[in-house]
Amino acid sequence: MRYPLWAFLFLFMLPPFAVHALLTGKAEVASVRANQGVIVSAMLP
Amino acid sequence: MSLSSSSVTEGTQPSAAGGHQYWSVDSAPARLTRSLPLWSAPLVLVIFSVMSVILLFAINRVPVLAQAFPNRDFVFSPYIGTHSVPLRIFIVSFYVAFSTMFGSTLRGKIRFFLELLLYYVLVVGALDAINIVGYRLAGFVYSLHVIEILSGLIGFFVFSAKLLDHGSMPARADAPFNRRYKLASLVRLTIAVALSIAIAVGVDRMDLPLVLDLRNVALLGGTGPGVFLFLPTLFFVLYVDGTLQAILRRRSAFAPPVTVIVPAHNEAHVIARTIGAIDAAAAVYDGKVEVIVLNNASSDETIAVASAALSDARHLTGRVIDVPTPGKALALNRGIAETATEFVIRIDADTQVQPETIARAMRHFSRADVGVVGGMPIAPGDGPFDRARTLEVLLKHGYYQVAYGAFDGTIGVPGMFAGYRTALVRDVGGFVQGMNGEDTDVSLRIGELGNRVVSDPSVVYVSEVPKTYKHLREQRMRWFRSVYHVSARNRTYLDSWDLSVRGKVVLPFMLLNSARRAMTVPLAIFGALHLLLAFDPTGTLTGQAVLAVLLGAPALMGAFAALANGRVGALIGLPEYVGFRLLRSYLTLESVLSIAAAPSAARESRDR
Repeated sequence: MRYPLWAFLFLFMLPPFAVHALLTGKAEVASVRANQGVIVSAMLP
Repeated sequence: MSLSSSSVTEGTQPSAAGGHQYWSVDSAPARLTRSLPLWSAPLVLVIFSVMSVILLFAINRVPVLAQAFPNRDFVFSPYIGTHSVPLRIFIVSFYVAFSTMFGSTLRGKIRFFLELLLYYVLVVGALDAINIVGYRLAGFVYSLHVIEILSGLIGFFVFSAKLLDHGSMPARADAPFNRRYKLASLVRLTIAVALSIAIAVGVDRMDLPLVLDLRNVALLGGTGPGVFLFLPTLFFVLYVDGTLQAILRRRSAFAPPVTVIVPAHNEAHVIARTIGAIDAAAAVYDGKVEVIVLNNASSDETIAVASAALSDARHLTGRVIDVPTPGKALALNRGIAETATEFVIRIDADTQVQPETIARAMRHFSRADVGVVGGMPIAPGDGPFDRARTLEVLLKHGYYQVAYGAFDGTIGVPGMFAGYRTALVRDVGGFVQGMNGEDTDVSLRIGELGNRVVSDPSVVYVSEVPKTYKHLREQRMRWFRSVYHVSARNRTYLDSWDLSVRGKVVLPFMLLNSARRAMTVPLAIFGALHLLLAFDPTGTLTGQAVLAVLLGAPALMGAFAALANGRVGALIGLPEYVGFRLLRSYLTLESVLSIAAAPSAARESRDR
């Protein structure tokens, strides 16, 4: 099996952004005022 | 590949203002490229604009869609905040427009579009799924800014990856590899990434009004949360690291005998000057210098002029060898075959070395681990694009190359001037003919073989800059295609399980960046449409924001690179540079459009 090319995104792009977003508070944990539409609402409890 | 089958080169040989011909068999490698009419890219932009208007109207004004997507983009997960540009709509519109021009059959176009779309939906779908799961388990949710930026980056990457799959590309070659320096390279890069995140977060926590303003400009890779601070900070940290390493590096006097090979195709107008410059450099170089001019299918007086210049030279020996089959790499390989010294320097026939260039470059080879040495090509300064080119060079060779060098991630050393350990060029199979980027290819492979690739901005030489738009277009289409050709030929670095930082991080980043550049002009149009049509009453995008991303950020980086290299005078070219960047983006779009579609049979055999 070959190393998948798109792993670049999930290994080298998303984690630094996720860490950065979490640390700067641009990703929020709890007390979320998420304004989602009908599709997303159907998927949430 | 049969070189004589290149129909592009027959009959239509454009000439530059100076009267010499710049078009060669390498301008558009047969089979891999197609001739691109001037109207193709504008047509793509028109189709893109129509598609964007339709999608923007649909998601904002069709009640069912507006209700399903209150975020006004195709985002399927919880989110907070607003966005300034619906990037998923942008990416899909671009995919539609590009696919209509890609390849020659309707089936091929539809297939390419469906694959682009499917992969894009899969990857952003995975991102949304992560967001949904995070929300359900921990109440974690991204802001829409972050989602949009990631959606944009994913869109770029999917585009480049699929173009690599569906475009007509060079065959996969054996990829020589040695693990030497690779782990250290990864560790160094990881530390720099961690440090940059820390700096970016630190600055962010200061709540500076400027940073808050810039965050609202969440346009693609330009600015926005994360990208605005993180990527520039990362390159700055790496640049400082690379500069410190260069200062601390031991330099011993080293002047072994060296052979200079000069491939020349219709260069009678400049070759005597080039040889004269090498002679002046040989005068201050302590070792012996031999020059081999490789006359490659010239129809002018190159042989006679070069022979005369060589016999006039006082500090070097030299000869002219005729390589009648057209192809720069064929000429270079002949030069390597004729080289009897341990070190070889290749110089383009229109490159003028400075007196100290050769001596400065060769000193790096006093370290046994150095395999390739490159420098900084400065513009002569008398052409219409020269001031912009100077800033481009300062940024690329005086800044980014130093940053890549910090973690042994340098990929390309331009063929205008490059020094090699001769045996290594032979070990990696010589120069490859029939694709763009044979210089990048050879330095990448030597680097992956476990040797250092050095790019030293103090090794300065003068390299010609196109004087006409037509010549610039030919040059840039060649250059911008090369990242795809090099990636395809060396695909094993990208998809093997070996720890190759160049293959796993730098090349994919370059592919992503190439797609970002190809989409810059469409993005400017998209920003303008989004602003002017104003379908979205919640939109936060402003005209200043679009201008900031298109003009401000490049100007800032260009100015920074000029100052970092102590070239304050270069700042005068900033306005031209900003315009040049847009022109370059447009040429990148033309360049990717000029990639021919691969017949499906060829694609399947390549995948095996």
